[in-house]
Amino acid sequence: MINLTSKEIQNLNQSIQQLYSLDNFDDFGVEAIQIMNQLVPSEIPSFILVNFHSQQIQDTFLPDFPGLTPAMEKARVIFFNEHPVIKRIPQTLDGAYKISDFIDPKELQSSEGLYQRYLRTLEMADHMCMSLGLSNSAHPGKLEIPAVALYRSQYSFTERDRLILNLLRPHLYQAYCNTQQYKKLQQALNYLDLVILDTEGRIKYITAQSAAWLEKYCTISTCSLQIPDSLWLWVKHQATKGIDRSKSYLPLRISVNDHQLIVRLIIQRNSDRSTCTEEDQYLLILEERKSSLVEALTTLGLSKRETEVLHLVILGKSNKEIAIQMSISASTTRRHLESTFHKLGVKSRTEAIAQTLQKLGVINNV
Amino acid sequence: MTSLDFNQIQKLNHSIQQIYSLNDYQNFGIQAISIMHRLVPSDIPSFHTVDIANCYISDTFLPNFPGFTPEMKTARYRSFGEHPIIQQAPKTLYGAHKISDFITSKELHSLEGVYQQYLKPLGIEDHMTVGILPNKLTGKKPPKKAFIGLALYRAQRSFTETDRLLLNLLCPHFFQAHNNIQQYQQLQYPLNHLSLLVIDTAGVIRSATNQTTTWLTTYFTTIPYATQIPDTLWSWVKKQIADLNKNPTKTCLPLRILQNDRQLIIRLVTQQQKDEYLLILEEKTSTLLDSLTNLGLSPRETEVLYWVMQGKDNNAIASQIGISSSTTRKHLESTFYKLGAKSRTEAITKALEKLGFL
Repeated sequence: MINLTSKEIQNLNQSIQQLYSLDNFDDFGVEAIQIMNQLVPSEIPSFILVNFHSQQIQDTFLPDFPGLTPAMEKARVIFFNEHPVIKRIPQTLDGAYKISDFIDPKELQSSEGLYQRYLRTLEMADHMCMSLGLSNSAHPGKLEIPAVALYRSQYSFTERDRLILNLLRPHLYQAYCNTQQYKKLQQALNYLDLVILDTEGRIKYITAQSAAWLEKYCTISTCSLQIPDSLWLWVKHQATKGIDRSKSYLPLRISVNDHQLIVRLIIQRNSDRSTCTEEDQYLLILEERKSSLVEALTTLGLSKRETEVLHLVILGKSNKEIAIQMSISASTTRRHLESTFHKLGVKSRTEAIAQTLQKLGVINNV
Repeated sequence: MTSLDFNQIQKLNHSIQQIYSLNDYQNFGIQAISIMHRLVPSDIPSFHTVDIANCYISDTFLPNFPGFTPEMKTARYRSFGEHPIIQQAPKTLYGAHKISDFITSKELHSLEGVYQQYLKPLGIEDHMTVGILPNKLTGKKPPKKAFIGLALYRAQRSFTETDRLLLNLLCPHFFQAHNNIQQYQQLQYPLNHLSLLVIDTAGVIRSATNQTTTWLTTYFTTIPYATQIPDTLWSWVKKQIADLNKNPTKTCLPLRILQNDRQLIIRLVTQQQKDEYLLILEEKTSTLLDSLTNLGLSPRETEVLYWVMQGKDNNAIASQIGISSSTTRKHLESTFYKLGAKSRTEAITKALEKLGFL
């Protein structure tokens, strides 16, 4: 039985931690084989996703390797079942296996597809493959198996290499699933226009749309790591106003022309203590709305002139001021107002405002 | 040099994977010590977080241990500087260290606070701590104020070098996994606290958070576990989609469903993948009256303003809240003054402006 030295154990332990510090699912393959290559070097290390229904294989190589030529890829698909490791599935699904475990060099060289059209063109002699486990979460119904494959030009894979790969195997799989979960979460959050801040006002997470809105409404550059000062002052004010969880905070409204950005704050406290801790964070949920009151008023079914008059009434103008602003006579203004009252079923301008705001749902909009 | 045999490496390797498969932030501590306990058993295993700024230690134990008594906790705080591992800090803050590394049994027994009031009542003779300081670790930004650690208590001085080695090897993983789960939790939180409903283009529910399901049953009286969203809600969604198709720049108003003094607000989000719609549900208990309290008026003034906004005249307001009409006028005048308004119309406008409606 092979045993690992203290140094080897330390290196393995450190690589395992590195694997779990990866958090980008899309780059997982290339980063994982970089880590693996330091422990078990090979001329061509690769991360592969095998789809057993379509027999499609999707490879990830290190950046310095140009990839397989179309001819090689074709040969690989055609001679898929000629590969001794694939031929012995499911026994070979539980760990690292190399071609030379099953056939000797002579037999391999006589294989028309696998060797002559594929491994030989790569100038490779041995191939070690290790499937990691089943992954069905990417597309429902499409079963994929993530795996790693190492190519060497010599028959030089040792039992120690195999042992280290087998020890890495559960971690490659677990870390792959973890980053996939993390990505799913990020995708779910992409539905929402969200900014997550730490307790110092630094941006921990921001969606693309939110960044664009902050740029538009607060004129900050999208690459900024800090939220705009004015917004941060508002957040801090809300946060210190009270730690009453049940209270909903009034949203902040920032108007630019006839558009409005509505910012809602959710304070997330991970601990029950009243003091801030590192784990606390602020969530801002952004929403853009057309704030044009005039446009909303048109839905009330009044005439164009009546709508205009009502708009000015809501803005607190007197009849005289309205008449001047609209260049109509005071009596015409009164007539428009009267018919507006009639349509809304009210007796006074105060009531008209109350009625309008209620109909538009503005009053309950906090 | 201590080394591990193959069996021990396999057990360690398995434990490491288990640590990273944890996904419940709240229970991380207890699950982490269960994993540690199987690898390095002790009479009392514990997980703690130390908030340095606030001198606050919170301990987690396995369910069968009742925890420290208040006397032990006090003794621990008071004799903090007496503890040999703390005395040797900062070099003992990272990695596994035990009391018996530094002092003999006899010396330990002579410690009034640490031994007589804290370890002895527990029947404990040795204490190994595993500091999980972030600085030796790769990866993400480490937290500044709090650090986490593990502690193992044994009734005998029986910790071996293999125990120490295993704990030292596990140590970076506890940190990394804690960091990962924290990062995950921070993204998970908004999803848990927002109630979302994803439906396909035929109104069939694709996913709903727990809160959403509860609200759908309370506000729509649908059967729980329905696969289709309530008919009324579906008609509303279809209407909004039709409107949006006619005029894509239009923003659709949320749907409000009133029930007693609560209302459910439903917003529709379409974008991205065209074959599904997202509904964001929000419940508001706050009424207009609640939001008016943000204006800084007195309770009475707020109440009067509320009725003004409902279109009531002074007499109606007076009888509504049971005060005289002259008092009503007085409240109204001071409200006008505070809002900088001259008429009731202006008062409404100013109030709405301040609350951000106009």
